[in-house]
Amino acid sequence: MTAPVLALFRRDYLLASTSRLALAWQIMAVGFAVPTLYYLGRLIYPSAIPSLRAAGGDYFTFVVLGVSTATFFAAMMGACAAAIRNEQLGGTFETLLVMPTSLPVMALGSSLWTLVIAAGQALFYFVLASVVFPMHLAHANLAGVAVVAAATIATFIPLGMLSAAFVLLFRRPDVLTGTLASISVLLAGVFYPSTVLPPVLQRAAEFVPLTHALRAFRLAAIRGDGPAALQGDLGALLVFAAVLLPVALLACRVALYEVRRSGGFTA
Amino acid sequence: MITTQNLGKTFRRPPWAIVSRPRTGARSVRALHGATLEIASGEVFGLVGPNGAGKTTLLRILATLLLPSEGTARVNGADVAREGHRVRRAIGLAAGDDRGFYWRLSGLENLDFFAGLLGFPASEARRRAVDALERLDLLPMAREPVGRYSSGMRQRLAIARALLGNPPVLLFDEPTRSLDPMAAAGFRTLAAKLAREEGRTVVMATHNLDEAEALCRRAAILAGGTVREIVSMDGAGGLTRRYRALLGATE
Repeated sequence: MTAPVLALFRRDYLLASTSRLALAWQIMAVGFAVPTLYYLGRLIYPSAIPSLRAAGGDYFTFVVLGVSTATFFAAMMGACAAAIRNEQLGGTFETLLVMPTSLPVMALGSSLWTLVIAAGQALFYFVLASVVFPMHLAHANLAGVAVVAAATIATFIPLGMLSAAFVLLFRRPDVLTGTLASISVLLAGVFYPSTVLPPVLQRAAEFVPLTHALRAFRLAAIRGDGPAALQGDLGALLVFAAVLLPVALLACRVALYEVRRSGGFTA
Repeated sequence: MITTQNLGKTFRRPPWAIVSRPRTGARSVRALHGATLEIASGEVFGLVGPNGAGKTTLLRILATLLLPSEGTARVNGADVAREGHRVRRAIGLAAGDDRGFYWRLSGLENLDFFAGLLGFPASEARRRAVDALERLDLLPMAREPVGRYSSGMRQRLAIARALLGNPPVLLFDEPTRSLDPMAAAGFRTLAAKLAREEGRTVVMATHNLDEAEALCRRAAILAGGTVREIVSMDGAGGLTRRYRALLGATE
């Protein structure tokens, strides 16, 4: 398993390094986003938005956590689908299917570079926001953050598998990740607490996994809540994972069968 | 050893095609049917026939890229539909087109990568990549991006990739299509050596009847998705005569 995963990671690193400007921009973009969020945050007085108090009362910390977390999990969800789409467009997908590498290993290896870059971006968000700007994470509960991260990953892996199955079946760009990202930005509380939404949208937000992930992340990172205090959102994330995983496995199985049945390897 | 029994493939539109591909025709295409073959270990076996005869479809089924619609096929004892992973361990495929590479990476980096996918650790992958490049006379271009290769060089690189895992079965789809005469002769020498000295089974689809005569022990003449006849080489142009007799009217 190690050799194919490393081979896929190295391939993606080599391909990315042939376009260093694009690679540098992925990091630089964070350098522009953090100050933008900081100056935007100076316009917002916590006293004007009581619902921010639950998240520590500081809009800058609130929004940096929201944007960095949402960006990372959107990248995680779309990584495998994007990799498959690139192989379809490049004509290499057929070649990969002849290899004896198992599909879970192929999916992991193909996503790894994207995940490393997304994790690097998230880390850069935190470092820049904490060192240069006044993001307050002094009370962060690392155990709480780790447990929420694990539960969120367990939810987003099947979502990523569903996106990959969509691309395999329809040989079209991944619209699932984009759609869920748009819904999440609206409902999940990336830029504002979901409590500012009308009641009907607040209820709808409870069906969006990122709502629970962000709420739990903020409570663990800002207020220092531990796993026990976060059990409501953690439970919701695990229910999402338990429901989505069998559906995603079935979707991938059907999609792969259909690819080999129809010979649909290219875009 | 490769066996197929009444092997067939019909391409049908998926039920959701009306949503995703509204301009695609509704017709099913029967690309292969009733193909029964037995290819011995260490044999070089040819697939000849006009365009659309079913040669590539047959090779793709043997490579597990396509699921058969009817019949069975076994490669080295493994069923292509149910034991795909075992089949993929036993084969090396060089497809007819030259799109299966990362054009921004060098030939060496491409082969390093594919050897890694076969499960070889980095140092072993590199050794195998260099060996394969040397075998196909590509070492001088090893560090050039594949995008700068000629079609013939990419074709040789595809053959080199098929050899990376030392598979007992090699499937070649028009392996000399883009090669110059010298490189084509080099391929024929290599294929003969792979079969006779190394005991590998080689199945190659080709339009070049002279090449099939020179290289193969037997060849199947395909037309319209069926195996019309299996011809043993007699060294006196028997394949070409039978091909013309069977297909002359339709060619």
